[in-house]
Amino acid sequence: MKFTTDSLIVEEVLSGNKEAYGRLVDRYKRPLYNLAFRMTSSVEDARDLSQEAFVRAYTKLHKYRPDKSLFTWLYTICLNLTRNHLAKRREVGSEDPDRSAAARGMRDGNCDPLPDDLLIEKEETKWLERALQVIPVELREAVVLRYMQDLPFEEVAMISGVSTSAAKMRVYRGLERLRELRAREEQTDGL
Amino acid sequence: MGYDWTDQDAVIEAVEGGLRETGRGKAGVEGMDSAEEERRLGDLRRIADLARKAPDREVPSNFTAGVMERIGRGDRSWRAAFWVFLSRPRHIRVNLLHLLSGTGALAFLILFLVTGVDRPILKNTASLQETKKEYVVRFSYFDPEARHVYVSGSFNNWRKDQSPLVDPSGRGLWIGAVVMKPGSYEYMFVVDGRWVTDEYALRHKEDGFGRKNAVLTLGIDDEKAIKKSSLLHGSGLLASLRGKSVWGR
Repeated sequence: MKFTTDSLIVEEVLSGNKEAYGRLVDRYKRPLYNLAFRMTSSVEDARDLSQEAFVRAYTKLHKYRPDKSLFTWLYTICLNLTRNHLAKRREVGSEDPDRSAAARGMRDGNCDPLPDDLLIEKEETKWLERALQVIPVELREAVVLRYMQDLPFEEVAMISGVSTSAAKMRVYRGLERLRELRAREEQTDGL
Repeated sequence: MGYDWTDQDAVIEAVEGGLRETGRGKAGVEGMDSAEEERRLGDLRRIADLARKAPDREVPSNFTAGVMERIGRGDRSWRAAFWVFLSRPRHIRVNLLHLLSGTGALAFLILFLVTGVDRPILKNTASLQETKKEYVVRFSYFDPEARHVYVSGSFNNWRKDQSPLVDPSGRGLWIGAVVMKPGSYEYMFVVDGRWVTDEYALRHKEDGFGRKNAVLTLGIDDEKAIKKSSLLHGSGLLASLRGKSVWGR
């Protein structure tokens, strides 16, 4: 069982076997890296943030409670780092560069070619990655955690620090915002 | 058909495949007909599906090595390591009797420290501490088999049950203290009802029943006697006496 083995590895690391931590990194690097990527739409930021999350988790490993899911704990650390990173990025520039670029693309209909009727999967994925950068961070993280990371609502709520019904509301609003973006874009293309 | 678009739980369920009608009618969006509702729901589903099917990005090949290198550069601080040592859960087995007697021993130790004892008492005997007008005489008796131990003597009119000793550690070291005024006293231990002579006393006196009482004299300066007592017993006992005081002689 993953939960049990996670706890055992944590215990091993705390006993002084630093190398054992590599097993945890290998186990969770993919979801954490992809979470950070989908939140930032930048491979560099995704690498830095997810690596930083693992380093932070290591330094705070003594605070980890074995009765909780390590996966959820790591996700929460990674998501907090990502939120701070996005907030700083907004403070540095007047606008989030990714978001503004994506927004401009959406508004002007100038993002990567989007066929009118049938979008091929790759292009749709690209569209989604861009569109996610346009919607508010809390709605973005709800959609990412629920659908792209495939987590149950309860876990989405736990990681985001809100109630389950609030998590559902965020997911719905996130989808709705994406739908509106798409509708607007199709309207622009149709003109 | 008819969805309550203000009931976001229901809409999410519908998006995720439930296609559940809320039964509350079209309260949310004015003028939306069934076809429009279905189209909107279909759009939401397509976006959810798109998100669900979005392929994962490949993690950079040196990702784990990068993390381990950063971890290797800086060990956890000694504070964090100490916290780990303190906070790590451990499996322990507790004998409640030992726990209680240990707590009792600790309480006695603190009491003795407060009253100024300088060395631990290791053998059955008496040591003393002088106050201004009185002496605190500490008795100790070692017998792991004993169940009840008292000290009885001329200072308590030979009452057998007035001055009990206790065994806080549960290991047979019975201890107790009696406050006495200067003078000469005779005493014996009462162990499970039997009269037992304090063999380690410096002086003894026949009791007229074929046994010997220990003799304790307080108020005479005789530190040599104390030291002699320590050597004789080999117990490490050295009562530290302030001013004029006397070991049993």
